[in-house]
Amino acid sequence: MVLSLNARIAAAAGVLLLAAPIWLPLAPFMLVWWRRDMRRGRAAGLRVLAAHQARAIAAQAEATMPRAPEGGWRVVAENVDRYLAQVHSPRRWRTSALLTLLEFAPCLALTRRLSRLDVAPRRHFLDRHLTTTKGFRGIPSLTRQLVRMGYYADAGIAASLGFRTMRERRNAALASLHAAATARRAVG
Amino acid sequence: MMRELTAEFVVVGSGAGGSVVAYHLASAGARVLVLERGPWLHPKDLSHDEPSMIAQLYKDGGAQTNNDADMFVLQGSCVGGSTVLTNAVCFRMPEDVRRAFLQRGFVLPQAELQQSFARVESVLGVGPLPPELWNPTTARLAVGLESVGATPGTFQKAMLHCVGCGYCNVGCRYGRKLDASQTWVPMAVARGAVVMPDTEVVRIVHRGARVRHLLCRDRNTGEPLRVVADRFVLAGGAINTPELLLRSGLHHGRAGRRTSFNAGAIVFGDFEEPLDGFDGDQMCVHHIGERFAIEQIQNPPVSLALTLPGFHGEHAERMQRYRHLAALGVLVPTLPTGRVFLGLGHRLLRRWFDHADLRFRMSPFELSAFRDGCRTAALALLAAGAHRVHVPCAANLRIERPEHVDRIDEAMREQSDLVGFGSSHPQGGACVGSDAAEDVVDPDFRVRGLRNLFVADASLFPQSVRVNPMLSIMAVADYAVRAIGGVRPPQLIEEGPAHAARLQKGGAA
Ligand SMILES: Cc1cc2nc3c(=O)[nH]c(=O)nc-3n(C[C@H](O)[C@H](O)[C@H](O)COP(=O)(O)OP(=O)(O)OC[C@H]3O[C@@H](n4cnc5c(N)ncnc54)[C@H](O)[C@@H]3O)c2cc1C
Ligand code: SF4
Repeated sequence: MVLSLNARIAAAAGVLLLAAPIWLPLAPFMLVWWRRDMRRGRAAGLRVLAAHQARAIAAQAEATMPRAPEGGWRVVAENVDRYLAQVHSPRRWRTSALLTLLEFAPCLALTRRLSRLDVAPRRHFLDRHLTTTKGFRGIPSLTRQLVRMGYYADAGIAASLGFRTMRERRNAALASLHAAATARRAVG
Repeated sequence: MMRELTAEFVVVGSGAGGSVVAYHLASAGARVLVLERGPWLHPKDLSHDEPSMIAQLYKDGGAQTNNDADMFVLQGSCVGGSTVLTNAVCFRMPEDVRRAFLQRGFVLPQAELQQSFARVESVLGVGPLPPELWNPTTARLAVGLESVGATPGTFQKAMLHCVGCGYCNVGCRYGRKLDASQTWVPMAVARGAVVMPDTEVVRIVHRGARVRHLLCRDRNTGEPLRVVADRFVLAGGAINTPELLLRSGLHHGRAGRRTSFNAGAIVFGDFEEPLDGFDGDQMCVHHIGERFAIEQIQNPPVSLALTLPGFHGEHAERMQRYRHLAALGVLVPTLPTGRVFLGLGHRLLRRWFDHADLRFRMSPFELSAFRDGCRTAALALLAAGAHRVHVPCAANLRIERPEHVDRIDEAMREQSDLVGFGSSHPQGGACVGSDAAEDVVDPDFRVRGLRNLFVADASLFPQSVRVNPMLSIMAVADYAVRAIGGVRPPQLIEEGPAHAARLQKGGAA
């Protein structure tokens, strides 16, 4: 049986509710931490991500991608932040919650949070737990997509794959059409 | 006090259906107001920055999924609607589909429908894709498809002076794609229609059999707005139109049912030599079969990464072969078994779940058609010279020889085995039909029980139209304006491409 996403969210909320005696006393501290982490995100130039969410994205990218963008792994998080900041959606909070979950999921296995793990155990954790499309562990597939989006949106990375922008295309006929179009735009 | 606007006709949504209706009504001299949830981006505002464009142009930033989160559903949310994101592929509704509609009481007389098709094609400048725009994988894929018994054809497209940049799915920054934002919308505005972007209709308010007004909100400021009119036309697209009916307490238990799709995923072939498929139009050849269609789709880096199967290191390795990849999308027309509904979350915790839910699972019959399509696509890629094929499933299959394609059956037993499965062609949910107990909309495009509320978008279709639906939606909207506003459109509309050409000359709008 496939459990719907909402049912999975409800189940997760149920677990949280059961664990309330543990986290409720800590809630005020968590709130302070959350606020401070959001402020850290803004200080780092992020528009919607909290600092720990950006770290989780960069950490996943570092563990799963072959080489860093020229500006470092944080570029991946910045690209994701730019994307999320422009999205109008009542579902956006889920993405944000998933990123927080991603950062702290390793703690459930009694290890350090994702961005504090060394690269090898981090990769091991991701390969072990986040390589399925099914069940609870299938949910973070969205974070995988975000990391891919943030990584391949980097112009240097795209160029390293051999992708060429319109200006660099070999197809001479199309390139000249592009040049003509650009010139017309400039005139307009 | 709440701001109030009035018009004779209000059209909700500016996509394939809404823009056509708005143009015809404005041409007939009516006062038309178009309310559009998304932003109004002109070609000069568009770029090849995929994340930014996906965020701004797609509903939910492209992250709309079914309830089980194993199928994404892409829709546009901007002036021009999903047409802004299309590959400009144009197909007329197949005759057997028109007849199937007829059987359910959705009467589209053949001669008049063909006239509507001719009219919308004249506006969109539909013609065959010129070979100089083909991307470099095209000729090989055509040979591959032919050698496995498929019948490759090239697409008819709605473009003018396309430069083959390969970025159609994030809008055309050159203004070369003749989508609704470049044709019907500016043509309607030139005839006096008013378009309000960033304005979401949240509720239809009615008394008795008459809609009184629409409640709207400004998406940027949250400011509420009331819009009063004589007649209202819902053209928010599948999923959205039934959602609006449900939110308004209209047709509970009926609206949202019979939602169908052309759904599928992409099969990739890895070739020894670099192909540079990005250098040209994304979609050039296709095979349209009875149970599935195969359509070439070559994506720029981000979109390709989002659809390429594989996890972590394996995915990254495949991406390193970017220049060597050619891709065929497999599409299955599904049965109308999907359902849009307002879930418990929406009722109890609206602040967090302020959206409709979508339930859809492929039946064994559809899954089997999809597997057959993947097998055919894989064989075509191998025949075209690919040394390895990646099929859209979670399992890491090695498909390097024709006999390996049988592995697909084992690896794709259910929908949740698939990777990158989704649809850009949702349809139905507010279907036309003669059954008053089941069909939300009567054969005159009127929402049952409400004299002045009409529908003119993909949600009308009682079953999947099977081919890419944009042209069919426009043609049906063109046909519907008679019932909606008593308008008889002229034989042909010559100004479409001419209008777009003027926009292009003027610095792409
Ligand atoms: C990526 C992609 C590629 C595609 N390529 C092709 C192709 O090549 N060929 C083809 O035939 N088809 C293609 N399609 C499908 C085609 O674009 C759609 O089927 C068609 O545009 C649907 O028309 P519509 O009028 O029903 O809805 P849309 O065109 O989606 O328009 C609906 C509009 O209404 C607005 N809206 C919704 N709800 C509200 C509300 N409550 N208040 C205000 N506004 C609202 C939406 O923001 C949207 O702009 C593609 C679709 C996508 C997503
Ligand atoms: S391929 Fe042609 S129509 Fe599509 S975005 Fe590029 S220039 Fe525009």
